[in-house]
Amino acid sequence: MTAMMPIFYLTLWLSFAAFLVPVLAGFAGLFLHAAGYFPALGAYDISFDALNAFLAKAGAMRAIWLSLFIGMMASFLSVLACFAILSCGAQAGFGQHILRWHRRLMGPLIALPHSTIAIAMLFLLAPSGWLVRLVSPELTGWTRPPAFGFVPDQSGWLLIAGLMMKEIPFLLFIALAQSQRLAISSLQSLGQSFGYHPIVVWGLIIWPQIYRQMRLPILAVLTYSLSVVDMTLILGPGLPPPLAVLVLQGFYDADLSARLPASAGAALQVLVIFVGIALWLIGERLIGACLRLALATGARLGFLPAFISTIFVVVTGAFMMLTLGLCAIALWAFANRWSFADKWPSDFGLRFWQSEAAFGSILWDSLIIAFGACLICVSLAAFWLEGLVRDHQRRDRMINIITILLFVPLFVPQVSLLFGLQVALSWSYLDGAIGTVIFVHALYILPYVWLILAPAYQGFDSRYLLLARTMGYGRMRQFFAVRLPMLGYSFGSALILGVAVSIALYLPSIFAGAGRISTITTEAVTLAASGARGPSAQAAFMQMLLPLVTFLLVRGILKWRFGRFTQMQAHQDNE
Amino acid sequence: MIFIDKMTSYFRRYSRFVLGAIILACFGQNTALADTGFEKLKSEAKGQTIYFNAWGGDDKINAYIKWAGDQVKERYGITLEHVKLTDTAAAVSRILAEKTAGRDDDGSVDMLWVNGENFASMKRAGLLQKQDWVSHLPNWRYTDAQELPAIKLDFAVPTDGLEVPWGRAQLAFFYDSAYLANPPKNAAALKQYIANNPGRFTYPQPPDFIGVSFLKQLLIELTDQDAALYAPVEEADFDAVTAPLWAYLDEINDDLWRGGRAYPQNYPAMRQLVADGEVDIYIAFNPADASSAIERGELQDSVRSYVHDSGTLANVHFLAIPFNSGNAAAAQIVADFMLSPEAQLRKADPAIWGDPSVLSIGKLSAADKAAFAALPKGIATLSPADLAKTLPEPHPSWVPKLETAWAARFATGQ
Repeated sequence: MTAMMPIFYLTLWLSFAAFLVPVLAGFAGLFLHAAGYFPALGAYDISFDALNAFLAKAGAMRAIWLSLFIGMMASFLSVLACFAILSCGAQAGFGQHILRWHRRLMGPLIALPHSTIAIAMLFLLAPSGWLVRLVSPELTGWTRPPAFGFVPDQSGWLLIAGLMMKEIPFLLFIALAQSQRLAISSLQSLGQSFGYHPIVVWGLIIWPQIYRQMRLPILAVLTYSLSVVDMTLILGPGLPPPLAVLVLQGFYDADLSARLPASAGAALQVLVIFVGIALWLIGERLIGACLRLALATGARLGFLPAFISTIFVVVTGAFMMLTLGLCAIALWAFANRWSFADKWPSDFGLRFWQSEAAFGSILWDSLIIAFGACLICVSLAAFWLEGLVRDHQRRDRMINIITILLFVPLFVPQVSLLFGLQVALSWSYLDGAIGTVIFVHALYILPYVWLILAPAYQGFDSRYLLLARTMGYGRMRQFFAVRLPMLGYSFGSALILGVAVSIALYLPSIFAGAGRISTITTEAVTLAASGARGPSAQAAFMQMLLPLVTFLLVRGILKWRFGRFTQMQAHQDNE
Repeated sequence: MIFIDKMTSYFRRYSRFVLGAIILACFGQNTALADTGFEKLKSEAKGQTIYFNAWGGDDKINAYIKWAGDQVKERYGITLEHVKLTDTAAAVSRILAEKTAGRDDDGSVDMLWVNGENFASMKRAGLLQKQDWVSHLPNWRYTDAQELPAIKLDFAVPTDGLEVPWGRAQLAFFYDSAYLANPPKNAAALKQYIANNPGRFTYPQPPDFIGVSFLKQLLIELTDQDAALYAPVEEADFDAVTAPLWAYLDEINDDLWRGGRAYPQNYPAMRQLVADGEVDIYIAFNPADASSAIERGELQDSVRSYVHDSGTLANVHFLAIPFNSGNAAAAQIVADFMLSPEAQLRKADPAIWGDPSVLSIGKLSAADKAAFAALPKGIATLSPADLAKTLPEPHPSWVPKLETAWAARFATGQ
């Protein structure tokens, strides 16, 4: 078997290179443009002119500040809220009930694209939104919507709230997976025996351990929030928008010479990510130091339980509101007429569904892309892992290296990477082909799939395989008869998360699809930004339905087919 | 066997030239050549798929394009894929990226809905077909450039036969008569109205097309140096010409919807705001916009339209084919279909789209004339007499300057 190892590593690195080379190509293209080299525009001189032109743009400075503020704040509050839910949910009684509710909601919510959540918030919170309609005119006296309102909002707080609604369930999902590795109940009783409040025990001992395991996904969330586009288009701010949207506007400017400053802006976005991550890591150290200090001095941190419980209650309330917003989407999708201050549509029907017959092909394309990309990622990850887990000496180190490398595309702002990639793709005539979209999606799905499968493989008791081998099972049969059923839950989660990530991708779909291939999300963002409520509700409704159906379907199959094996694995985990 | 294979492959390679020579020999005259040229185009186009990149923010327009797609599929075997754009410049950007990458054939865009600034910049960067293809189209004979000069002059830039006129547009205002009895019909009255009704007026955020058009409309009404607007902006004193516009906008800004701290993205978003009752007035580049929206149940039937007393901006929108389209034949056939009396008639129907025709009614057959005359006008559409006063579009070079100046004033977040 060890004789096979060099060949395995060769294929591993080759398939790896296939993934990372386009990323590098995209990067190279971007920085050439940013430095002023753009032959099609007759620009050959390397200089800082493009950068200066970008910085001279109206609102550029505020855009940079907004990006940092929104990205850092949204990520920090998401992590905080995630820990609040976890620690309050671990307490007996009421908290546990709520945690169960969050867990139930979490799966479907992770599956929702960012833009759907933004649309739900828009439909709920606008002055003519459902909330105002529900209480008007009885409580407010309004027979027409008020002239004031906060959607879209220029301060960025609404966007922060939107990002949190999307990231908290994702972080919670990862945190729950990681917390299963810890013996939480014994840690908790140990902490309490020292006289700490149970929530303070979480804050001082359990959070830091979970956080360490979640760092990469958290940094990916941070990167995304620092360069978010689709949610911003719907929720604001827009005067000026954060950096990523300002850059995108430059790419879409009718004046072609605006491409050079836009490229410089995209390069700047890379810098903003670096600064954001650096600040985050510094903040992380500071908080870590504070916690250690608290431990050393034996401070009881009496304020913490009330603080964390408040966050827990507020966030839970926010999620209840969000589900209301999602209902508003469903109502609008089937409303023929819904004038202001009516609480419900006055006329239900399928008007919007009849006019858009082309939806069918978009739906198919979205499904093919999502499942195609997931299949590639899951098989690739499984292939790598099958080989790696047999290499006992290097296994863990290799898995760590690959994890970091796979996250590289997630730490590059999409808008920067994709413009560079677009030139490479159109040079090779590859853009607009469905295979290309699948490939680019796979780039963004693989890290998440890896994140779920790698720990599952690492925790797998290889004696089961040994047993299979003694019965004369070959590699393939070992995989399909033993590994796959026993890790069924992990494979299923990887698939669900992968499909959800794929459905949600907006910029990658637009750039790689060259506009020729529309997904349900590119359609929804186009329609939502255009403000026509019926059609955008319809697209958002499909956005909701697609990952939800996947989620329920995969869960159902897992339970029906592999239920008993997953229990076996869970039993082993408890030992 | 090998010999025969070689012969067939030679024959295949040169058959086009041979056929071409024969056709040339048979038809000496130019017109005949043009007709057969079009027939040849048709056979070439059969089975091709064209990617029509067109702004996709309006349901009714999307439905019309879908209808056109069904027709060309049935008649010419051409598949029309509508690539729905949020911003036409995105497609221009993609074509530029393709030129950067040296991709001179089989580009991702086959046909583009375009006018004004985007056309001007594509023409400048050489992103369009190399020669006139429009005047060879059979349906071109129904147009009259004497009657409607704008079909050959796109925002004062000569089209040179590189884009085919598709529809006519005129800026029109729409108001909900339930909240507003006498709409303000000039810039001064509008300012008064906004001051009296804070929060009930807005305009799409530039660089949105309608938003910039609204700025141009105000500028023409407010400045006393109109002549300067029709020459390149570099020749004018921009600050002096536009000073009255900025003074005006500064005055109204705080009383706009959301206190001028947010603007709708485009005109359908504004239309939705009127439908919800958040604002009183919306603007569109189509006098029949409200009628067709009422027809489709998207707008209350109390909405009516008006134009400013001095007239409003009018222009023509076009279809262009990029330099690297691999399906230029099919794109030309589709463009010709879009120009046909049948397609233009359907487009002008307010129940479908309500976009005025670019054809010269006098040149049509009696039956088509009657059909155009019989088109319903829609309850919220003005009569042709009310729409008679139009303002020509300023030179396109004014657009980027206006956009930048607007952003510097209202989009810095201060």
